[in-house]
Amino acid sequence: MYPVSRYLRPGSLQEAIALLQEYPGSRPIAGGTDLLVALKEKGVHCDTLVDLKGIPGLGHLRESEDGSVEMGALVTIAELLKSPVIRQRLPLLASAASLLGSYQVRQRATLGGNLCNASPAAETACPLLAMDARVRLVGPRGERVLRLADFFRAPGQTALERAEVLVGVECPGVADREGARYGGMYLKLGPRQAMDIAVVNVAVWLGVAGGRCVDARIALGAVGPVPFRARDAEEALVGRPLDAETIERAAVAAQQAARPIDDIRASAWYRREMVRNLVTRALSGTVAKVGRPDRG
Amino acid sequence: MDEVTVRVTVNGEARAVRVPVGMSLLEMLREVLGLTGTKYGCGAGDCGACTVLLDGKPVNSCLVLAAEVDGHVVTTIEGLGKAGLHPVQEAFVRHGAIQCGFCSPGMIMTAVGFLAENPHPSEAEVRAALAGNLCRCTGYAKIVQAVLEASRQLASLEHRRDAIRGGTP
Repeated sequence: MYPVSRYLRPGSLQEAIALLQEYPGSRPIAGGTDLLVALKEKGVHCDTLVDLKGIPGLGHLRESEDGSVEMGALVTIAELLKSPVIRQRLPLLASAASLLGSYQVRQRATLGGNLCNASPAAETACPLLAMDARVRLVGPRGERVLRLADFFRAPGQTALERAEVLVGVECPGVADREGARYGGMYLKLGPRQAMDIAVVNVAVWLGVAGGRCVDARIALGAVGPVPFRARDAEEALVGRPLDAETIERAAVAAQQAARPIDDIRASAWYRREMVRNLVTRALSGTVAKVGRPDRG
Repeated sequence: MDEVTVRVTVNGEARAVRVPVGMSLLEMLREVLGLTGTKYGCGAGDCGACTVLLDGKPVNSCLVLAAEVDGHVVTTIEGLGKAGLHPVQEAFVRHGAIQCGFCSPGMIMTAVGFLAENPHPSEAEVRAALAGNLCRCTGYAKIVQAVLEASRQLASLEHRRDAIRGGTP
């Protein structure tokens, strides 16, 4: 039995926002795979659940002509995995989705829920940060759009205001620079094959043209209070040929940007070592896929 | 704690029950409906012993509120195999994939849901699909073999059914 007094199922977004305002102890529930565990085992107090699943229009997944992708907050992780749009346009997100939880959890867990739970190790965060995602929020004061990079504030905390709901995530299309080839890799380090929270998450996305890097995104998770982009590491790559020396410089810069803690899953020292290893691996792996300096 | 009326189809039968809003689907199945084939293992979505099909998809019933299934369709282990055992259950028996039996309902429900979506899986895909179901007895090998064999059985059943429908031998 979950310690909940009230369960409400609004039929519209406006109704949901009104209910979240009316009941100060309320929380929205989507997939429930994090929230219900938190209620039972982590001392999270919430006397009223506002079920978002009855609200229409939050489950869409579409690609626009300009190549941008829009995903409703209630899209499940399983739906992300099955979507050809995601596989083609956001392959890092597809990779990450396949590593989230378990088969059963993925049927219920939602994209919005994964982001709003705001674990520093959130599976979908690094791929979306690497793709410059924005989140659409709706609340009592109306609608606003934030960069995902500004959405995570602290472990478990987001920029959501009281009674505000995340309704969608958008990723801009990949800029089509002439002759550039794009690709990336998502790596998750952890002791188990599934049902595990990452020790380190790395998402890398590169654009290569004329043997040089023209675009670089490196997002790190589980090694700081929030998932983040390693900007110095990215700058170490742009404009340079992607040889071993450049990759090493970027990996070291990423390592220096990480701010991990010691916890039950790993020590800070180990996590810093693994940042360097995984960034090296992800960069080398991506280069192997999209082009080497001598192949241009 | 408020109560709510849940109208849900369970194993093909329309049910209406009044439950506390904090009750999980797992508790409702076991304690209100008396369907104890679905097991309580961890209560936190880690072990998969509580797996049932919700609208055909395998879910951890400990992480679903009874209130959330109002208007939906649930299938438990008791709902498999209309006349005799389901091919997945038969394969489990044939392969010795059941020892104490506690993980088995969850394993079988996950497998049934998974094979409906992926009828010709590789071994690696089966293992990934079952990664949310823990077994302390078998070491998983026979479970994986059983699911692979069941996939072949189900595929050949479909093939025979289609062949009959299409009129070709």
